[in-house]
Amino acid sequence: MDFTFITPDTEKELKAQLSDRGSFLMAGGTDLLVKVRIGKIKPRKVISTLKVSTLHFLEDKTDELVIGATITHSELMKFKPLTRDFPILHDAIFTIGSAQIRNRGTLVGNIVNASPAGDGLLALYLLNAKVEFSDGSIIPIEEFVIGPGQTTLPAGEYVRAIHIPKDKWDIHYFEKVGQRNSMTISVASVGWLIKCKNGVMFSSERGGRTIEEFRIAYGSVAPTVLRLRDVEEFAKGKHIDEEFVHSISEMVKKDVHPIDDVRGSAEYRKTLCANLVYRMIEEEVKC
Amino acid sequence: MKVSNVKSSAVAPTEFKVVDTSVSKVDGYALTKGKAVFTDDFNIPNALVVKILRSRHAHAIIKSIDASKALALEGVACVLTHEDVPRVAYTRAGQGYPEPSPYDTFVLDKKVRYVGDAVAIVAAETEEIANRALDLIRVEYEVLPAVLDYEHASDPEMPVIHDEPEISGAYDPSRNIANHYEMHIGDVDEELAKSDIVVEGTYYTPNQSHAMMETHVAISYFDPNGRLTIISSTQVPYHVRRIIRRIFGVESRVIKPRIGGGFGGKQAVHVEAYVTAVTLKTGRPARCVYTREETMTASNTRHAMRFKLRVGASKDGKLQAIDMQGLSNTGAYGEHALTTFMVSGSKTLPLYNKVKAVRFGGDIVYTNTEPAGAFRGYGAPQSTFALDSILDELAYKLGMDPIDFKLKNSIREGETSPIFKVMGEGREGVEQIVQSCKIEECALMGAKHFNWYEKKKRPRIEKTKAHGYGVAFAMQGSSIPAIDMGGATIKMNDDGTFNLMVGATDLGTGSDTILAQIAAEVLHTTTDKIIVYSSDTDITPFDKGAYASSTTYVSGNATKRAAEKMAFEILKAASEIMSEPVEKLHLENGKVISESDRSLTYSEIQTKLFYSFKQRQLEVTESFVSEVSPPPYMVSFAEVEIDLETGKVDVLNFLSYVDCGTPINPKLARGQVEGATAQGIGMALYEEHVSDKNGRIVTNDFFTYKIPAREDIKNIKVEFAKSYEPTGPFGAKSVSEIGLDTPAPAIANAIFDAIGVRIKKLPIKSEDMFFAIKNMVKSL
Ligand SMILES: Cc1cc2nc3c(=O)[nH]c(=O)nc-3n(C[C@H](O)[C@H](O)[C@H](O)COP(=O)(O)OP(=O)(O)OC[C@H]3O[C@@H](n4cnc5c(N)ncnc54)[C@H](O)[C@@H]3O)c2cc1C
Repeated sequence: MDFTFITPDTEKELKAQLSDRGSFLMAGGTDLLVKVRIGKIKPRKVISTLKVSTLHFLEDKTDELVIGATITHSELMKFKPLTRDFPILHDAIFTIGSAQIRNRGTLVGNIVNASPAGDGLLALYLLNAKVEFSDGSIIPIEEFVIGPGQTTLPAGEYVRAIHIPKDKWDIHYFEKVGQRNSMTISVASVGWLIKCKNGVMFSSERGGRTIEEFRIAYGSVAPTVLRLRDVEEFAKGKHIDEEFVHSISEMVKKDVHPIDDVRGSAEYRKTLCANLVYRMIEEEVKC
Repeated sequence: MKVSNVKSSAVAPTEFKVVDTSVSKVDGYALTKGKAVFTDDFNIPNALVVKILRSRHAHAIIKSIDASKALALEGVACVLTHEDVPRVAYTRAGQGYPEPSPYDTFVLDKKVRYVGDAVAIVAAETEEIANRALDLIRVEYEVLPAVLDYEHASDPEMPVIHDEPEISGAYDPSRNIANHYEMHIGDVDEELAKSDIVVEGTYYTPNQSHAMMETHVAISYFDPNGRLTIISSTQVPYHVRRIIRRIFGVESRVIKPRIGGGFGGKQAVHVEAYVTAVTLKTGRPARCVYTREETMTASNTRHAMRFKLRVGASKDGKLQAIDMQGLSNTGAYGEHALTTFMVSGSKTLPLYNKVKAVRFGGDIVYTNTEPAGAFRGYGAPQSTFALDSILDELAYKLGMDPIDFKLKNSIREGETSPIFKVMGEGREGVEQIVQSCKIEECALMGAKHFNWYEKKKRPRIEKTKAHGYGVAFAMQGSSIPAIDMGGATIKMNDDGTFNLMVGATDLGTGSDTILAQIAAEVLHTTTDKIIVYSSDTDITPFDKGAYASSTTYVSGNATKRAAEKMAFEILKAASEIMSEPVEKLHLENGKVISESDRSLTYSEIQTKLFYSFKQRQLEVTESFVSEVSPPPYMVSFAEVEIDLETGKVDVLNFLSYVDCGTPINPKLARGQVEGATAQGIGMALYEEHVSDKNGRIVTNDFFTYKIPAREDIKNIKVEFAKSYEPTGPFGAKSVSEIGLDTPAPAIANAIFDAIGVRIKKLPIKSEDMFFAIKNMVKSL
């Protein structure tokens, strides 16, 4: 397990180092080092991004939030505008590993790792986030991830930042089901964002409010995080009631394609996914 | 029945100065400062790195091994195969001699019996070279069909796992039965036929990994005088010395430094034989550090067990009969096979001593899976899950609160159970009258602290969450009576300190600390004046080792006796120096004080004895062998929340009320129960070995094998009953294992209370719960 470890200070140096074959980028290392240890990756050189000061930034613009490549989950959770504007992202990364893992792990590491169970990734799918490469190009997250551990990042480039457009959502929900409560890889995870026509109402009220826009994504049930467009389309103009949830639950069952593994059987995971949408009626606010 | 004749202690519980206080652990500072304390921290220059080539087949005969390429690699010192090591059958189990476990193991054999079994030992200058050498060894196998399902291990036509002629002590190796046991008292069938209500059930408990933080490690070398020295992370240094001599015919010194946890996993010879083989072959120091994967897949696991139970009661709630038929999977080798199985009966059945008839028995079978061994609780957690679950069901059918039902039928102070005599560990037990038993206080006070009766009024299902409340009763033992022996030596120094030398093996439990407390209490000094040296077979007196909940009781009694003798020696010396009769002297605050108010400090006494007055070293050795094994008792309460949409179970509150006699160090005693509870929650909800179809364990690291993390154990509370065991040191019994017995049944009972589904197989996975809930809803 011998490799050179380098800590460039500037993006220019970083880019120069990347041209060598057998080099791997590392931020927190919470994915990379696990893979090195089990021999899945045999790096000749590991290049840390952590000393590159221009990658360590959080920019709260009027229309978007820009998250630099070395921002850790803990740093992000402490950033006030996050809870205000992107509570779904906050809730998702709050479930990542443990405090120690969140202190090391980065959001960029989470997306480049491209795991179908990536919690940060799931929130970014819902938020239509974009990925900025070192060559200046910016592409939607769904075009960035193409399979487990596979991305469209060109060789010799790195991810500079993540851009999240600002948008107002009335309802947000994230849940991950695992056998344990922490340090767990999910059996399945789900998140949704809902905009209501004329605002939300509480469970007890009755009224004519309907869904204006709906986004839903699942993790751990397909090779990548999955947005269910058919459900999203179907939801427009509907009320959140038993009948609605029942219909989308049936659609979910058809859309997800989990596999059998140590964490659970395909059948359990499929039924679980269908069940999770029932949380919508249990929530206080609806439309 | 005759009461055991162990002298009861004269000190009344209220007079303690050092005992029953939470002094800091004697090794706490070194540990928090990260000092070099563990086996692997010992820097023995020039040590070879030892690695084991392991079998990829569950069952195969080794036809040939070609190590020429590995040997040609620069830096490889030796490659040893079954042809290079003595062919001596032994058991890895570290227990009293002669061991009740079959002699069915060789350092290396020409047959491999599970995926992970040792094929060859490689020693090289570096770990990297050793690993490369492993890859270069070519082994030709004749692969045999494997026995992977223990429920079918002794079916006809099954391949025979132990067909070696040297095997001894096994019951029927030709049918893969390592051991068999049966007993009965009264006529079970008749009593069941007469019972108003009979409940039957089959219960399964899985393999469990010890998951101690420190893996198995050993270093061996010849000291300058040529004495073989083995430093090992073992719970049983004296048994290691004995077994190494049996295998290699060599005398040795075994040193146990600080251990990073064992939980029974280190109550066996694992690594020591490999490093010894290398040191004997090369003359060089050798070091072997197991990887996590080796520790998870090629050491020991908890015996998976199946219990078929029948219990009967009269309408008024009197338990009449218990019929308990077990089957235990010992894996490829039989270490601790018979004894764990017997403990399944002997540490549960006496609790319900009001029954008219009891039957217990079954087979312990070989399979081509990782060998099972000792694991905290030693069979009792498995059987307590079965027995307590079925009694809970019986109480439910009788319409009784389970607390009332279990209390009505359980043992009390001054009573006995014939099972104490009938069942021991590997042989008959001893008669004993229970002299301390506060199970009633544990149940009633526990219910009060837990708010049992109030909580039970809450609706069970609210929207998508169900809540339930369960209770479980348990007992354990304190030592193996008439077998376990421990010694203690105390030496007085001229600076007012004492050296306490014990063979007892602190594996993180804090035994060095509590033994120092016991000595300090007797000698009227403070714990910091007692300097403990433990577990060095050349220096400390014999002790059976750390297992069977025996250290506080056996080694504690030995320490107390030695300290009492030392106190007498001090008084005698002082009487000579001061020319005052012994009766007029007493010990107080590190001094001898006379009635005329003259005093001498311990330091003054030993200094005089060293240099100027009747010169001698004060030193005493005492031993203690237990005649009884007083059980601790415990009642635990669990509150669970079940998510009906996902099947996930959360243990919200867990309260244990424990009777362990006097807790010598309440903080450490509480830690023992808390830790055991966490392991019990793991056994109940998360932990199991998942294997592929070839018998390879897939859950071989902490990524796949899930022990509970902090978020999973929520709120654990531990309370102690006021209890005093007259035969124990200052009233103490054991507390280290019992905590693992109750979580699984308490949680399973709480799940039943919540949703009316009886889960009889551990671990209770979300997925299984989910489908159980679905089936239940369907059948409504
Ligand atoms: C115990 C444990 C628990 C975990 N629990 C969870 C969990 O609950 N949920 C979850 O989603 N994840 C979990 N993870 C995975 C991991 O912590 C997260 O994915 C984390 O966000 C990764 O960030 P990192 O900075 O550590 O990535 P690293 O390991 O440093 O990098 C990950 C990948 O990204 C690449 N990379 C890093 N920076 C760049 C860059 N600037 N440009 C291009 N490529 C880059 C690396 O080469 C590597 O391939 C867990 C991991 C562990 C060890």
